[in-house]
Amino acid sequence: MAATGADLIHLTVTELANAVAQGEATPTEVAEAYLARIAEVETRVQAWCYLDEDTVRREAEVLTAEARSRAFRGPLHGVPIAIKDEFHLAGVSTQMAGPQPQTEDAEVIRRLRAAGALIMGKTYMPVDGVMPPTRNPWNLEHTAGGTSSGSGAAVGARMAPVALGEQTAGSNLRPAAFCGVAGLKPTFGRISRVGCYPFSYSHDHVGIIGLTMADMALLLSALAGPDPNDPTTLPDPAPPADLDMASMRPPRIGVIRNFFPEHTEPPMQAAIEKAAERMKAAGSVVVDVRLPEEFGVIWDVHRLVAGVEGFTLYSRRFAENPDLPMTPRHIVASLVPGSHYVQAQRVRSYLHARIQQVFGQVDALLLSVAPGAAPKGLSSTGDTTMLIPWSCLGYPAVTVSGGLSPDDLPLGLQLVGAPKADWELMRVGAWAEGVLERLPAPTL
Amino acid sequence: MRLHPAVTRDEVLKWLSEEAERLAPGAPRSELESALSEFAQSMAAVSAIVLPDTLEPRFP
Repeated sequence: MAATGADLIHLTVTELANAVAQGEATPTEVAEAYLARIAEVETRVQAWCYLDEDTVRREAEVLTAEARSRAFRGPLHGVPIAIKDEFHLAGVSTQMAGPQPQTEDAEVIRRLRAAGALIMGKTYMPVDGVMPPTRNPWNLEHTAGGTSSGSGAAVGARMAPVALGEQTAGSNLRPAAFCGVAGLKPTFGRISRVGCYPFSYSHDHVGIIGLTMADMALLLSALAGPDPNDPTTLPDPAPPADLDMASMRPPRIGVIRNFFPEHTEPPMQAAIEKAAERMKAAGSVVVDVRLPEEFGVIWDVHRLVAGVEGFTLYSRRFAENPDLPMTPRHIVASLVPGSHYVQAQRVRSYLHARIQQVFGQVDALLLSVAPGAAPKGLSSTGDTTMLIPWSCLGYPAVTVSGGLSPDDLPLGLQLVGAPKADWELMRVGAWAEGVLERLPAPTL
Repeated sequence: MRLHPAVTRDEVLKWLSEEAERLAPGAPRSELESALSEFAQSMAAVSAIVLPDTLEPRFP
């Protein structure tokens, strides 16, 4: 029996899209289900910084009329999506960019609309160092992670089935993991960044937060592909939406045994070992991997490159807003000589080629997203140590569930793939989802 | 600040501290110390890596 009413919020994007396509649910019914859920939990979770219900209902009605006449725009017709405030939405301000409304949609929003998605609103992120009010739907005393805080919380609390995020250090996968849902940071350049507020030319990745790998593959197929207005985009066409799991065989998994275990708390390390055992029992070849010693400089590379680029991007804001204080990090980054920045980029080039050699032995590397579950308190969005290397190298990474911590918070595992092997990595992630099982929605 | 021969953390920290004092004389030193130390460590680590002369930087 098709889901109706409040049950709609528990469907995946794939199921929602099929329900709309089959006439089992209208975009309006889907929108109303999510608006009702938002009314139920938002005051506690605080994921949304912008939500205009009248606009959502008006756009849902248009999508419903189109669906009734079978004029589907694309594979996401009627699917609601939450957008991190970092992305420009026409007619709405982007808090990082100032109070004036943006005049154009970001490219990703343009592509989502073309695919028929219903833009629900914008989600919280830290702004100029001020933490958002967003709380973790699994425990409201804990952070939802960040900086894609509201996106992670919105999907975690089932206020949206999927959301856009962004990752420069660890900002997309961490909130996904902390809120108990799936996340994708694709290969650098996979998705256009036009209309996305920038933090680092070399490290900014558009990311997706969703319920399943299949959902994120569907989103990626609509979002990815070259953009002539973003020269960093890959020339390759978007990966297919269909992960073709019928052809999937148990993957080769490499558990990283150096650099990361020293930062991993015991419950998280136990989750990694348990996941490795379960995947092995399901037919996967699981091996230990030690990354080359020179990998250890990657965090230094990221600090220098992101720091200098971040200051470069911020310098106009500082000049135009005398009251905006330069952070200590910005002050010091502004002093890094150009030669040291270029050298860091040379080291990044070297490591990008060197580290990917490991994928000759394995299909994906396994580690955690964070040292542990979401920390208590809202003054920090958590630790980026496990995520920075893959943001710096531009390799694709996903998060899958590692179960719950002793205090019932999600433990997020990370699978990392070879550059440009986004589709292959999502197949590994989907296979892992089947073995490790997804978490249910939290009780709010 | 030289790049080669590799700089030490202490050399960089001294240089960065002096430059930071010139740039932001009013900034509380206690707030800067962590950033100065981290960037000094990173600059020293990166300058110590030996790379082939022909290796191009990886810009986006």
